Amino acid sequence: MNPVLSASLLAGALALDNRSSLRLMISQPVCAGFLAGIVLGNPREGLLAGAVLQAMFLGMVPVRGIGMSDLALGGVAVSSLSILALRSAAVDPAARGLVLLLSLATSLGVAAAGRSLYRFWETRSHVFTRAALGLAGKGRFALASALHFSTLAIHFAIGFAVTAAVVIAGVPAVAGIAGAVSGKWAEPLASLPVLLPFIGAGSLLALNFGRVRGFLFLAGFCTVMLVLLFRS
Amino acid sequence: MEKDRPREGVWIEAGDVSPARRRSRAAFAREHGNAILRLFFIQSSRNERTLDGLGFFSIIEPFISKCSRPGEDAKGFARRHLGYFNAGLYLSSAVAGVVVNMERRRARGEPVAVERIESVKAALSSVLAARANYFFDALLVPLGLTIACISAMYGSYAGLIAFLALYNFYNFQSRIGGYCRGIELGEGVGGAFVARLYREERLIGGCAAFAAGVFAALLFVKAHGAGGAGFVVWGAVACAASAALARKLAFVRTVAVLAASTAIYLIVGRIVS
Repeated sequence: MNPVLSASLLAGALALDNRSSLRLMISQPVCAGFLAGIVLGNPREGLLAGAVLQAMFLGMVPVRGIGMSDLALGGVAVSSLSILALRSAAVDPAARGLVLLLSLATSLGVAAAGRSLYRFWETRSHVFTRAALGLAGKGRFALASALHFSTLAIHFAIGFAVTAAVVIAGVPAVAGIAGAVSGKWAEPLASLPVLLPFIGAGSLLALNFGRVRGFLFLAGFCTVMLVLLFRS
Repeated sequence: MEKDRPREGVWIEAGDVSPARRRSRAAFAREHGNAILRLFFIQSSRNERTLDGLGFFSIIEPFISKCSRPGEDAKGFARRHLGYFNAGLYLSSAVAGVVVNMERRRARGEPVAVERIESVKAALSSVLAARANYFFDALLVPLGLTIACISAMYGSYAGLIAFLALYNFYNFQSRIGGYCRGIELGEGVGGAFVARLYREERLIGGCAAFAAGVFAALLFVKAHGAGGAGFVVWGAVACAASAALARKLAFVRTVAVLAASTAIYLIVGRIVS
């Protein structure tokens, strides 16, 4: 199957999981990246890209009305872009880090745009409730209920369209930039997957700032260090 | 009261299941299977005026004919449940179960006032939503994702599978079990049930904190292996900056700023060296 089509179909399905409250959590970036890797023929690369994005957002907890970025679409975008751009003949394998950076930057944009799109949807989707009220007033209850389920198609379509647009425009752009900027600039970025997860570690630290949980965080940290010390 | 019922579970009664009870479960599944499936799509039409009102109606809809009193306006019943509803994701099923229970009793002629149904629905929604959202969003999901990320760092899929299994165990238990409990107990879903909910909360929270510490330590070990002391120092700086900025900036902005800074650090570091 065409890689753009398969990635877009996957994104549509994951948007359903994320937005419909099915919420099996397969839409988390680490899962989405892995699934995108499977459909694009490189699960290991997909898992790595998805895991880096996931690790950066580890401590993000939707409490006190904090808006959640659309990480489902971001997860598919980062994996699809990095796998397809690396497959492109123009990209030197040494520019892997640069490809990951560009894919991550794009996926952050997709995640933020997905959030804005969803907020817009929330301000408008009351028309479905109003229409359902009208139908219920006429005694057409099953049709009113069907209106609710018709919104599933909209969530799927948004995920599909956003990902298709991002992959179609993003792969040549990422491959082009990575091909043009190679060598000295691109090489040091290979260490990005080692350093970027520290962002998530910091937010996890903030999440566990209490006395008991802070102690347990420290205990986990020290346990690893002690094990490594005794092993060496 | 708790001591009188030591074998009672949270979602289902503990102990051996009698054949009669097993038969009644099969009948329950036939009667409520449709509503249980609908529970999983409740937030699909979420909007900022009635939130999940239409989603709630879609769960109640198969019961309209059974819950309307003879001679009573079914349309009025439908309109009542098309209003505002916000019980979060995981335990809205319990609220739906309670409402179906009360509406059916009312349809049978028991003295259950419409106002009573509305007030129970509103009160339970806020209590159960707060309890479940904290357990899932602040404890269980961070724990599972931390395990998944640790294993992914070493190229393994095991953590991913463990995360999905752990999360979905509680997810299905809360949503299907919550609905069944609501149907069974009706407005009795209250203090004792809420108190028994997620008794493992402290354990999961502790494990999440411990796993986060393990994750941070492994990152430092990997950073030392990849780039020596320079990477360890930068990692510590990024970690501290993320912890500080997470409370000040929007999360996606914090991530973007720190990711860009890390890339600049790597490029400048190479040029300088």
